[in-house]
Order: sequence, then structure tokens, then C-alpha cells
Amino acid sequence: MCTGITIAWRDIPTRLIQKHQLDERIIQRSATADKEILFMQRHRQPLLPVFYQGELRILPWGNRQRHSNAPLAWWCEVATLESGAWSMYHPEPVEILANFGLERGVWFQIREGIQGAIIHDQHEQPCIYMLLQPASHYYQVMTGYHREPVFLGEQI
Amino acid sequence: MVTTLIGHIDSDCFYVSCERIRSYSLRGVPCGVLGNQGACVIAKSYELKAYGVKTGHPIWEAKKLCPHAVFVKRDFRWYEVISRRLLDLLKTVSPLVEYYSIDEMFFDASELQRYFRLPLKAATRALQTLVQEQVGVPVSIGIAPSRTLAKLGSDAAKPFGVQIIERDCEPFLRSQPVGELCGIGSRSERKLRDRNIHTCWDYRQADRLLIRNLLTIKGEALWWELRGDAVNPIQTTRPPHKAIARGGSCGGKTMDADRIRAWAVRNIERLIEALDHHRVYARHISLQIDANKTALWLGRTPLAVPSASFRTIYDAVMPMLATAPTTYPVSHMHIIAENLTWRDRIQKSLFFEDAQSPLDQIKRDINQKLGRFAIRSAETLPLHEIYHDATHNYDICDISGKMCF
Repeated sequence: MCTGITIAWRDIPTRLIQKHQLDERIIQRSATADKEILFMQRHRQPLLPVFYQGELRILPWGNRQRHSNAPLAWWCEVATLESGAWSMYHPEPVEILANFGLERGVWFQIREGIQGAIIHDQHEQPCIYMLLQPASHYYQVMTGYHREPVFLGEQI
Repeated sequence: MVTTLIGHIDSDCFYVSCERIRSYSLRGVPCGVLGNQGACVIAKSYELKAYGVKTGHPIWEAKKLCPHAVFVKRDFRWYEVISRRLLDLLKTVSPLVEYYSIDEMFFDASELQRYFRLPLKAATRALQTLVQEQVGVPVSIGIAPSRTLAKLGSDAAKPFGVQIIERDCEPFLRSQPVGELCGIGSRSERKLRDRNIHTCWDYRQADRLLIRNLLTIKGEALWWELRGDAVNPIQTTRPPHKAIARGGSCGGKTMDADRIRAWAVRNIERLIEALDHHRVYARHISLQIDANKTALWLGRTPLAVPSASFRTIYDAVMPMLATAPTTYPVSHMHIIAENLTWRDRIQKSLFFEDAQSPLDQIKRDINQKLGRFAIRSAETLPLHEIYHDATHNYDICDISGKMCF
């Protein structure tokens, strides 16, 4: 499963960078490359940049707090969602914005973004879950993993 | 037409440059383009090269050498678009252009100064800037009296350089190992080294007849070219193929008979498409099977009449496949059509079936209308993951008009 993404630093408004203290997540792959903001699932405060209700927002990635009634997870299988197992949480579709994704040590390009689901817990706190599907042959060979994110507008 | 100056334009890390045109975020990033299976690096940026990653490296080695590198899926349709943009631009600057490969072109550079109204070096720089602005890829350019010298010049000028080579260019040729010459492989290089020929200058100064004896007439042509005599002209159209092959990797080693047959049928269908495109029929069909480069097996079957019929080629390939050794897993397979003949130059026969059946024509018409492989043999069903991924449907060999691969 995709454990990290980056998005170009210039694509995130300054107010969001300041509000969520994203400066500490800035990376640069080479001296001439653009600055990127790194969003890792292992981060002490995992976040994801999403396009939701017509605007760019930085929202929590999954849920690791037991007092919340949202699922204790970071990803959600499309098949699980389609089976109706999460219907009690009233998930809504959301677009996760990303330029690059990380899977088992391999960084790969993401052209448009990743499909996600947003769930609000009993305190109306939002949680973002990245949608997963069975990996294509190419993705499986490239990363060595059998599940891949649901990419927007492309198949890797 | 005799040209006094020949130019060679060579794109710098072409596949990566093409990806950078449509994806700004890749600029400056160590980037590798992966092959159709996602296993091997087929092209890399200079930033990735600096970490020691080479073309052909498997991804699990490349990610260790450069953990922050980004890997991109290849897309030959897009690379062809950019390649043809470059070709079209070059045709506006030069009266003669040779489409040598997807990222390399030779052109008549004798009008370059007049076109840009600048001295030769400045005009070459202007062309380089024009390509960068209008096509978006960085290129290196060599200008010389012959194509061999021009190619040596552009290779030496990389990345993003220009090199003008005069007929008398001893210091430059002394700096170039003879293995840099296009057409000198490792075996030829060894033969030359045994005769104390190490650099291009040594090659140029060697006895012409010695070179001819060692490396045949092609070696002699290089000898003339290194002296600035353009014996290999610019070719604006590709000469007819002597053979056409389709095949390649079987997506990893396999001993599964169904998958091996499926790959054979897929390659037959691709081969027939190529025969249709070039308007030729085949008189011989060969099957080459490569078991991970440890064992090579080759079969050859003559056809009763020249043909591009699926049934005929299938009936030629399958008995060869059945007799191929099954002790090693198959990694690569090629099906080769040889002794080609133009479609309008064959003798009609009363006693044999037509070179193509109505079914072949219906299949071709439907696939042309609905998309490649919309109709395909049911024997290819075991390769569902290959057909499911659209990038497999277009390969570098499908880009027509190039002189070489």
C-alpha cells in the first residue's frame, strides 16, 4: 500500500503551509528540483492534501485514535467500500492531490491524484482513507506489492 | 544530392525529457523510465546517472543506488509525438533530414548559416535553442563533413552542447576511443586493438586495405568518413526491410505452455500488422526462443507461397514451437518474417490459398476502426494483464519510418 506521497510546495497555499506547519516536511530531491511537501503515513501527525467541497484542504490521514468511532485504518479497499461494509460511516469521495507516491521504497509518478474517501467521526472530525485496488502487473513488478492506490485518470 | 556539411542532432535523455515536457514536477528530479514490465530502467536522467544507475539496471538495484529517484512508466505514443515534432521542426531548417531513430536525426547542415544568418557555430546554437523552445527537449548537435564525424561530435558534446568538427580534427579524433564509432562493436574493437588501433585518429591513419580486410566494406566506409569524405549519404526514406521481426520479453521467465503459445500468437498478430503496414508478404517464417540468454533455439519454415495470413503463419510457427526444447524457461521470443516480397509483385496461384483471407481483412478493418487488439485470437487470453495495460499496445518498433531501432 502507498505509504507516502509528495506534492509540489508551490501547489500548496502559504496559509495552509503555516497553519499545518508543513515547512518541516519540505524535501528537495536535487538542487535544481522543485521543493516538495512530504506526507507520510508513519508521520506522528499523518496528513493528506485533498480537494474536498471545492477547495484544497489538509486533513488527517486515516484514524489511529481509539476514542474515535472512525475505522482504525489508513487505507480502504474499493471492494470493501463497494460491499457496503463502510456504509454506516457515510463515506464521501475525495481527491487526494499528489505528484509522487512511495511504495516499498519505490517512488513513482502520479499524474492527477489518488481517489480517497472521507469519513466524519462522532465529533465531526474528518478522516481521509486512501482507496486501494488489486495492483496491475506493472505496479506489482515495480514495487513488489499486490495492491495499488486507485489513481485518477490513469492506470499505472 | 551532395551535401558539404552534415548535422547530427541527438536528444539528451530523450524519454525523460519527453516526460518532463508534460510533467513539470519531474524537472531536476533523478528520474528513470521503466520498461513495459516495470522491472528494468530503460532510460535515465543525468541526475540519476550520477548515482551510478545504468540503462538495463533492475529497479530493485536502482532504488538502492538512488532511494529518492522517481520512476515513470514508458509511453511510446507520447515519445513518438515529440520525436515527430522534432523531425518536423528540422525539416523547416534543412532540405534533407534522415529520421535515424526516435531521438536522433541527421540533416543537411549546409544551409544552416543562411537560414539563421549567423556564423556556423552560432547558427548551430540557434538551432539548439529553437528546438528547446519549440519542442521542449534539450539536444546536442554535431556538425561535420561526414555523418560519422557529426555523430562523434554530438556524442562528445553531450549534454546540451554543440560541436563543429573540421576535416582536419586530429586532437578531437585522438581523444575519441575507436569503440565510440557507430558500427564498431566489442568484437571489432578487439580486432582493432590487436593491430594497435585504439583511437579514432589511429583508425583514420591506418592502412585502408588493412581496415577493409578486418572490417569489410563497412569498416572501410568508416575510414573514409573519418577523413571527412561523406560516403554514407543522408537517406530521407527508409530502404525496404529485408526482414521484419516482432517479439521481445515474455514478461519474465515462464515454462507455462499456454502462456508461451499465447506470446507466440500475440507476436504473430503483431507481425501481420507490420506486414500489412509495409505492404509486403513473407516467404519464410523463423521462430527464435531465448531461455534467459543461456540457450537459444531457432527454427525456420519456408511458406508454400508468399503470405501474410494468420492461419498460414500460425501453421508455420506452432510446429516449430512444439519442437522447441522445454527444459529451460522461456524469457524472450521473436517471430521473424524473411524473404519479403512486395504485395503487388506476386504471382497469383490457382492451387494455394490467398495470401490473406477475408477473415484477416475483417480483423484488420475492425481493429483499425475500434483500436488495436479489439479483436484478437482467443489463444492470447492467458496474457490478460498485458492486454489490460494499454501501454503494451504500442512499442518502439511500432514507430514507423525510422532507420534503426
